[in-house]
Amino acid sequence: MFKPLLLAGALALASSPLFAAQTVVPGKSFIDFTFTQMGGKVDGGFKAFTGKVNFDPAKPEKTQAEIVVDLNTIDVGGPDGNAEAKKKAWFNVPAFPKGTFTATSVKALGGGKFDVKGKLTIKGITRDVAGPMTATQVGDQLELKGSVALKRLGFQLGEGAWADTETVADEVVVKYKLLLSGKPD
Amino acid sequence: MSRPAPQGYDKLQILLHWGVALLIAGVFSLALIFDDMPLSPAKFGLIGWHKWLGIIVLLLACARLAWRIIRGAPKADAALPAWQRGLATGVHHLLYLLMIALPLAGWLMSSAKGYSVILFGKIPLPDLVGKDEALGHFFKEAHELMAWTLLVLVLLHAAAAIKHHVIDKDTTLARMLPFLRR
Repeated sequence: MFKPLLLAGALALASSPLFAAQTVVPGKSFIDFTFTQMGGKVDGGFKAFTGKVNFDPAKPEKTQAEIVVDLNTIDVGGPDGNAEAKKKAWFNVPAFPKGTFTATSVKALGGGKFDVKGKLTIKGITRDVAGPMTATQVGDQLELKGSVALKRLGFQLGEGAWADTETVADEVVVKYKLLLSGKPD
Repeated sequence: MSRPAPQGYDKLQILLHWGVALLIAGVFSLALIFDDMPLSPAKFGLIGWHKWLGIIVLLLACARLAWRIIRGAPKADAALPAWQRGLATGVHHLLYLLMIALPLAGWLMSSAKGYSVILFGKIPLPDLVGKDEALGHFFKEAHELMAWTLLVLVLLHAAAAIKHHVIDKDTTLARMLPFLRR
């Protein structure tokens, strides 16, 4: 019979990034980061990103998520730093304008808490990343809040002289809040 | 004050005067060097030392002011015309004001720009104001204006001291440089 084939086809479609059960509401979501420069914490963030998510807190194992960040909108706290961050030694934005996160597994830890794992691609380099997340229903929208600890040098962020971790530490903590509109499948 | 003014500066006052003078020269030079540099770890290093030594200037300037108030300072040579004594006192007051206000403006600028001052990369100092780009710009302008004003005052102060020693041949400079005593 053709039914199993059709089903396989439908599943293949569902797992492609074409899904869009829920979308990230811009303006009410943020993707920020904190890094250590000369021993002091500095806050930054990305002003533009899009997200397509299919996440049901009751069925986290079925989660699909793809977040695409417009790296050209990076803000590291000042105009000089922002210009520097887009250069070749850092994000090399002209060559790699987007950063992408794709969820690979979401496990419920109870009490609205989840353990999220996924693949992060920046500058053409893909690494496994993980972090805790909480999900809260806000009206008919779902608010996801979490953090991911990264090593910048793993993505070749800061090459040459900038690889010095005394100036800018290797560890960067990404903090996000994603407000999702729409219903999961 | 009712107390009689001391006859000269004590060892502590002399030590602090020259120590702060050297620090100010160093901090000023660092700023001139890093100002034109492109962003780099080396530039961050120089900015770090500029901030740290600037905070030391602030602390030492407060110590100098406190000790000057407690112990007092010698009066200007009574033989000098009143306008010269008044000018010297005015410049001294402005120098003290700038030794405190200039590093404070730098600290405020750092705080407003979102970069905390971490003394020697180890001791975090509190942020004096929250992050505010416009305020950061204001304190940067104030910091720079005060720096150039301080340079002019220091040159005037030094020129006057040399003039007293070389032309007037009085004891004004020797009070701060005891080996020059004749």
